[in-house]
Amino acid sequence: MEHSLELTRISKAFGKAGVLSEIDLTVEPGEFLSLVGPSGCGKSTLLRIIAGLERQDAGQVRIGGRPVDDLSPRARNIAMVFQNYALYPHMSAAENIALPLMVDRLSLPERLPLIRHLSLRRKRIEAAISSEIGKVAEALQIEPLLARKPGQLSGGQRQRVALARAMVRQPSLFLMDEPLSNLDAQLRVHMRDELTELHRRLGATFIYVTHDQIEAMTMSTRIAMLDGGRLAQIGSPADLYERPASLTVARFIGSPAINILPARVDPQGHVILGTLPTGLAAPEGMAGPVSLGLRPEHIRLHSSCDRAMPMATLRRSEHHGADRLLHLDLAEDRQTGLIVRIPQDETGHFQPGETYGIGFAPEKAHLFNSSGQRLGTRPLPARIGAAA
Amino acid sequence: MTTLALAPAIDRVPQRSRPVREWLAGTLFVVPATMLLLAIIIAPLLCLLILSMTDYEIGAMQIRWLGLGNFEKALSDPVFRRAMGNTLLYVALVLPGGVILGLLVALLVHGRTRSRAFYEVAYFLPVTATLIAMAAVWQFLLHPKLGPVNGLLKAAGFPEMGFISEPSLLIPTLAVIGLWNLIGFNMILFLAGLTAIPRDLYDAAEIDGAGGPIDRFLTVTWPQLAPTTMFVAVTTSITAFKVFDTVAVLTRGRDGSEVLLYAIYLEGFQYFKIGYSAALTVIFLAFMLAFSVFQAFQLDRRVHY
Ligand SMILES: Nc1ncnc2c1ncn2[C@@H]1O[C@H](COP(=O)(O)OP(=O)(O)OP(=O)(O)O)[C@@H](O)[C@H]1O
Ligand SMILES: [Mg+2]
Repeated sequence: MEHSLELTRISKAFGKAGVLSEIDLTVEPGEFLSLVGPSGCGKSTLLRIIAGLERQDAGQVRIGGRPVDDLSPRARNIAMVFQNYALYPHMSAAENIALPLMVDRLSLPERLPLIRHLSLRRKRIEAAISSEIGKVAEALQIEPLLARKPGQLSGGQRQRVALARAMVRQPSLFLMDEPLSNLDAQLRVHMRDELTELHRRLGATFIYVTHDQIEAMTMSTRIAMLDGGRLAQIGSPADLYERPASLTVARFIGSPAINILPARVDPQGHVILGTLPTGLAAPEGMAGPVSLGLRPEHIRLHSSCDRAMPMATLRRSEHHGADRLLHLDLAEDRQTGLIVRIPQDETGHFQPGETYGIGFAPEKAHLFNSSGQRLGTRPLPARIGAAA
Repeated sequence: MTTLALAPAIDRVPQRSRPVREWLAGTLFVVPATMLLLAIIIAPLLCLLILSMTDYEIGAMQIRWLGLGNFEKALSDPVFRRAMGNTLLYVALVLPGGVILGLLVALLVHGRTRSRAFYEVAYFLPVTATLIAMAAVWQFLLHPKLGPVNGLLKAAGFPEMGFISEPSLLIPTLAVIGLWNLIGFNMILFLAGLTAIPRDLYDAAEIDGAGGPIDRFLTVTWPQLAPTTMFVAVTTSITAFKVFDTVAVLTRGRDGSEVLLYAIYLEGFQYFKIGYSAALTVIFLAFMLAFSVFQAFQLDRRVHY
């Protein structure tokens, strides 16, 4: 049932405002691809183009290898789940779920009020449909809710009904636009698991729009990040976390966010933080200001050290269950804040107001040039200021 | 917090128990609204009801209590019965016509993008035009000899029609003029309803395969417009029941065009029989009330989800 999806050079503008430019994207059959990015970057627009609700200005959409640009949303055999569920409020849950099948299997006169009672085969088809609804409802555990109208359901229940309506036609492609963003935190975590499980069970291709990077990281096989209408990076969650292609991706993925420190590359190619070398070298021929990215868990604090190290003052310490988050101010310029994550059971005295030396393993550091692109790094043999 | 702080202070007032105090306070709060309601609505209605059981006439020196006499007279009066029948016919023409045409125009205008503002104003103009003045225009348009409508009919080979002279055509003619006056208003109400329909629902309908015009209308537009439709139906029927100005100007309530409000006007202000006219008004109000309540209950079941 699962199908691949290929987008080639998709562009879209609303009036003069360009929203998407030349998006190339291939989604393998059965994949769970998350589409992430800041608000207004065009995620919903791209999803609507895939669904056929919006027409692209240029480029091609292919589903299962077949161009679908001239097909209606229905003919594309996709299902879509909307942020606010978009259930028909005057229909019961069962009627909502049944609608796609009714439209598929009954002719227009057979669906019209009054006239429909003339049809002889309608009863038979409706019976078949209602048994299919029963199966889907069972899979999503919403059988007791089928008679209720959407107004009488909780957010999570509505979400499940919307999912059932999407599933019932056995589409090749599931499109979801921030389906969990209207739920409270606990339910969101629960539904996250359910969706992942559903994806595993159905084996269908999922395209999942979210601005919540944790959802993207935990659920997807791959993440595509849009930024300013362009594809900033596509890769596995680990790829995006460990090798962000740009400053925007680095900042977006990871919670708490990555620490970005202003640094520079001296003429010898060494990366200098403040006045101290970091033990990193930039690629050949590169000099000038750069940004140094350090994930909170990759920073080590040293309370007593005589080596030349960048120093930072502890502002406060937060208890996060298994972890502790330490908020520090970099000593040179008090502007730059720094967040360090340490395991709760790590020994050491962390007193607000105290000053600590900062160390990190060079191979864990990320380097970005002034336009935010990732730079390759190489560790120098002599590690100054770095703790192994 | 405030209740906690205040509680001891209140408790020091010993004489009355708590329920009595609450009852007193509640009554005091209700008094102003009740007085207003009494003065503005209940009192005039009571006046009307009392008048309707007397033979009061303007200028009369004495007044007699008739009980239900006025009502008996009204219900056996052939003129009044015709007025009731004609009014119901008028409502039966204007109510469905006003709702369906208003919705149709709203759907068409809603689909426009740049020309929408123009159409909105154009259709709304008849609402702002005073019906009395426009009735003169209609009188000319429908004139048997000079009017362009009959001119067109004749050119198309039809016989000349006495739109405002032939008794059986009077109510339909008045209904058309009433519709002309009303559709713009209903259109604006429906447009407001249409604008409030979430775009997501149309998207969902499209995904579900219900994207064709008829399916879209039946699955999204019509059910979503149910509250608007109910409101439009109630206001339209009230307006229709109150048909008066076209009758007063175009036909003077001539044979075939007697309607309730005009009958009330004639009895009260032409023949000065205030008591009798009050009785007619009571019947009129009872009609309106029954009709509105019926509509509200009928439609309510479908509107609420
Ligand atoms: N129908 C439209 N007409 C004009 N501009 C539009 C339209 N739809 C979207 N846009 C614009 O396109 C841009 C991208 O919108 P889109 O809804 O795709 O963003 P998004 O990434 O989904 O954002 P969010 O995370 O807030 O949902 C926005 O700047 C928006 O204003
Ligand atoms: Mg969006």
